[in-house]
Amino acid sequence: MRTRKLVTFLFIAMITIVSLYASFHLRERSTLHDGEDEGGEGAASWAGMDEAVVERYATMSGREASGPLLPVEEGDLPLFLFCLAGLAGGFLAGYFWRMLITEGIPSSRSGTRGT
Amino acid sequence: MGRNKRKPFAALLAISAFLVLWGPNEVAMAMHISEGILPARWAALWFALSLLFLVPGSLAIVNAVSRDKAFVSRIALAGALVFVISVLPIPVPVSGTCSHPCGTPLASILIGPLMSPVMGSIALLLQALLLGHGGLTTWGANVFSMGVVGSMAGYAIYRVARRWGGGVFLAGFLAGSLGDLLVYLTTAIQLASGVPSGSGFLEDLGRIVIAFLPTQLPLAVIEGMLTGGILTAVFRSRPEILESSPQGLSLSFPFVKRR
Repeated sequence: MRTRKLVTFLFIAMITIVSLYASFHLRERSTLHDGEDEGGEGAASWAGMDEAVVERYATMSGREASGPLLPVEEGDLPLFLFCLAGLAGGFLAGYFWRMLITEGIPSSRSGTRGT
Repeated sequence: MGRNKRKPFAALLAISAFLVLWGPNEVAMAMHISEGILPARWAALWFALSLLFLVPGSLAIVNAVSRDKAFVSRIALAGALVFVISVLPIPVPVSGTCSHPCGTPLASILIGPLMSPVMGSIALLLQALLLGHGGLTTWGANVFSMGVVGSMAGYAIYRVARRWGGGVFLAGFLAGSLGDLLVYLTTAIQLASGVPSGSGFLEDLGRIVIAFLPTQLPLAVIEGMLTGGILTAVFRSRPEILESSPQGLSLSFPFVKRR
């Protein structure tokens, strides 16, 4: 058992080292990342892959990302939506409270032990 | 519940709390294809392909829940895991960019490869609506890459690795890491085919893959460790969830009778 664990550990350590090496090597070969540097944002901008790769490639190919179809981030709308979700979740949790917490699911219905 | 059985749940709770508190930022750092990038016919094609998996997946969920009400909690846990893991931005110093794991390989091992894409599709819909993460027009493409490919690949790799004698951690590591890389390969194929730059499909594909890999290779290792770690914790507490292959298949496929 110990040998098996050791082999697994060494295998994963090797994969990690190879992936880091490949990551460094490929970073220098990536033309999309080179474009990012030329843009002045630098490598430490911590942009997401959608911005750094997907949207950059799309722009190079003549397409632009549009804004969201349903702009729900305006004003207090996000707060309203999260409150609505909390209300619905709270109602459901309260309605099924006994089944969820104290009674569990009857074994005749579930076929397994209750939660 | 004994102390040993409580430990995995406590670990899962701690991981979930960490992910929820420090995970999603105001600005989503995503890999999903953003709104409006894919032309309409390509967006429609990926919608149609995703629906081919979402319809039987939804039927499988209805079927499984009607047989076993307790299965709802496992589906809910898998859905929450996919949502949080797939919105968690992880900075990768090698490339100076952020990206996130997928979570669908793990979900598919926990609830089956047909139900997991449905969870992925719900997570992607909420992210598109609430976080500006992905988009509604590109929802089908993102569901196909992260939901369908991540789930199918992760489940298949896990099963093959277990059949070949791999331990739970190793099989989970391989499923998580290779599933993650295959998701990004699919995204690259979707971009190269739907938004050609004019220099040829293979050249576009190579350019996108080489741009993805510096960030995604370390993240694939992280996703592999996360998947292997969570599966090991589940295996120690409830081994039947991972080891009962006929039950797992019958729960996943709606028209197969449970033995």
